[in-house]
Amino acid sequence: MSMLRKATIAVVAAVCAVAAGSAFADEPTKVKIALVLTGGVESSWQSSLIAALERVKAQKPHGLEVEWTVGDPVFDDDAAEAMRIYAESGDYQIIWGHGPYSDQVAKVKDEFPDMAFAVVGSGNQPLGGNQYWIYKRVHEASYLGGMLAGGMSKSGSLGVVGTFPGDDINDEINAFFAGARQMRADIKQRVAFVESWYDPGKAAEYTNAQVATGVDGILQLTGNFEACKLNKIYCFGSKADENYFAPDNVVTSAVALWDPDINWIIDEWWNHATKGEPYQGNAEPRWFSVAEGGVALAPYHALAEKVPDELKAKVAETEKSIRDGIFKVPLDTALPVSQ
Amino acid sequence: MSGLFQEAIFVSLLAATIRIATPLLLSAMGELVTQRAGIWNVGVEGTMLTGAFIAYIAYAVSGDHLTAFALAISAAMVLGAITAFLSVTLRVDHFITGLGINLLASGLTLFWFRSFVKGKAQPTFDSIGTVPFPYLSDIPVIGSVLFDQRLLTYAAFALVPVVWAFLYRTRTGLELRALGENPAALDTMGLNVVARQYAATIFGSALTGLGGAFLMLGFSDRFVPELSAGRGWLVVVALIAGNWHPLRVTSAVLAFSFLESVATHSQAIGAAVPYQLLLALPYVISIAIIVMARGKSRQPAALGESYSRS
Repeated sequence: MSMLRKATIAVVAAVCAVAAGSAFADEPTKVKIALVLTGGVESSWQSSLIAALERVKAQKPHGLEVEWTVGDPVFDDDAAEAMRIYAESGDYQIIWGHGPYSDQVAKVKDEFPDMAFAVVGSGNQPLGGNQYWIYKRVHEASYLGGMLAGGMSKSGSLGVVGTFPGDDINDEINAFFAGARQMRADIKQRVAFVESWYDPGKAAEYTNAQVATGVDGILQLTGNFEACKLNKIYCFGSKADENYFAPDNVVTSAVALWDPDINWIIDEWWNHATKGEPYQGNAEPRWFSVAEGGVALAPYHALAEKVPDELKAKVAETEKSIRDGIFKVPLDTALPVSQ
Repeated sequence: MSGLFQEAIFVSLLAATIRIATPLLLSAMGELVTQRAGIWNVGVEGTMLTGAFIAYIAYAVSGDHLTAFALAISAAMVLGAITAFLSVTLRVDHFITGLGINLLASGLTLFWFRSFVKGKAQPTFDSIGTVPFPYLSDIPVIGSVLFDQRLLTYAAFALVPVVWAFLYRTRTGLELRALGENPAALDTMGLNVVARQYAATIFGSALTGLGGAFLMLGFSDRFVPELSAGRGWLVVVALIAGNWHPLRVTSAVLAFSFLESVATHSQAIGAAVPYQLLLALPYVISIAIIVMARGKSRQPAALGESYSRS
C-alpha cells in the first residue's frame, strides 16, 4: 500500500471518527415527560407512577436525565388541549396520559409524529403509530393477597369494596378470591361497587355492611381504611403500599410498579429519536408481570408477626412459582358478584 | 332481598341509616333556620366541603378533634357571612350567590389540599369513636341502632326538637319565620331584618360545616377532593321535600339515608337486583317526593327574595 493510499485511509478514518463523535454528541441527554392525570398525586394510582418515575430517574436509562411535569387532573377536551399545549411547547418528548385518554391522543398524535404518547388502562383504543397502550394488571399480587386473606380469615367470608368495575379491576378482584380459595375452598365472597372515585363516607358504609354479613377480610379498592380500623378487621390495599394509613389492619397491598412501563416507552422514543426506528404502537394492551417487575406484593410491615409463618412460607413459595413461570395466575375479567 | 331481614344485617342497616343521616341532619336543621329567615342558601354543598376540609387540615396540624371541629365551624361561619353579605347586603340573587360559594369552595379546597400534601405523605387519622349509652346500648336491636353511636349523632337528633321549639315556641323563632314570609312587616315594627338574616345564615352554615367535619372525622382516614359528594344538595332537596318543617325535613333525611343504607346492604348480601338501580334509588325517590310535595308546598313566601325598603 502506497503512502498516499495509507494517508487517504487515515484521513477518511479520522473524518468518520469525528462524524461518529459528532453524532454521539447530538444524542439526546434529557427526556421530558408530560403527565396528564385523572386524579391528584395523592391517590395510589397516581402516586405509584410518581414513585416509579423517581426510581427511573435515578437509573438514568440510556444515560438520560428524566424529568416530568404534573398538571391538575384534566378530562375530555381539556385533556386534549393540555396535550396540545405540551406538544406545541417543544419541551416534551413523551406525553403520558395516565388513564383513558386515547380519544384525546387521537386528536394530536399525528401532528407530532416524533413524540411518543402513552395511555393507560381500560377505556382506551389502540391507535398504533406513536400511541402505546399500557395496562396495569396487579392480579398476580392480588392472588397472593387473597391467599393471605383466606389463610387468616376465621369466618370464611371475604369482601371487596371497589369503586367502579372494569376489565383491569375485575381481574384483581377475581384473583383475590381465587387466591383465598387456594387456602380455603369454602370461602364466601362479597362484592360491592361504590360507583364513585371520591366518597369515603359511602366506602366506609359499604365496608360496615360487608362486616355485618360476616366478612372479616376486605380488599379495599376505595382507599379508605377507617372502617377496617373501627371494625378491627384485616384489609388489603391496592396499587400502592397502603399499610401507612392503617398499620394495624392493612396486611399487604398489590403494588403497581410502573418502572418497566416507563422504561419501555422511553426505549421506544429513544430508538425513534436516535436510530430513526418508526414508532409501532401496540394493538393489544401490554402489561408487565411480577416476573417482569411490573407488580409486587407489599411488605407486611408490623403485621408480619400476625401472619402465621406457615402461611408466609406458602405465599412466598407461590410468589416464586409465579416469578419462575411455573404457576400462572388465572386472568379472569368477568364481573365479580357476591356469592 | 330477604337477606336484609336477618337480624345482624337488619341491625346494621338501621344503624347505618342513623350514621348516614347525621351530617345531613346537622346541616338540614341549620339550613332550615336559614331558609325560614328568607335566605335560600344554595351553597350548602360548598360549605359542607369546606367544613370537611378545614377539619382535615386542623386535625392534621393539631391532632385534636375538638380543635378540628371548632375550626371547621368557624370556616363555615365565614362562608355564611360571605353568603349573607352577598345575598342580604348586596342583594345578589341567592342562587347565583350559592353557586358562587360552591365553586369557590371546590376550587379553594382543591388548591389548598394539593398544596398541603405536595411532596409529602398524607397525614393519618383516628376517627371519632362511638359513645355507647350505658345499659341502653345493651337493648337488643334498638341498643345498637340508637344508643351506640357517636356523640354528634345524638346531638344531631337532639337538635330536631330544639329547632322545632325555637321556631314554633319562641318569640325570636316567630320573628324569624315572619322574616321568611314578609320581612317588610318586621322592618315596620322596627326589628332589624339584616341582622337577623345574617345571624340565620351564619348559624345554618355553622351546622353545615359541623356536618362536613363529621363526614371527614367520622368516616374517613384521608381527605379527597369533593369529599361531600353531593350531600349538600341532598340537604337542599330534604328541605323542599320536608316542606320547611323540622319534623318533616327529618323524615325526608331519614328516608334518603334509609334508602342509601338499603342500597349499601343489598350489594353486600348479593341481592338479585342490579346494584346501579339501588344506587340510584335515593335520588329517584327524592325527585318523586319533590314532585309530589310541590302541590302542597309551604315554601316561605319571601324565600330567595332580597329585601329592600324601597
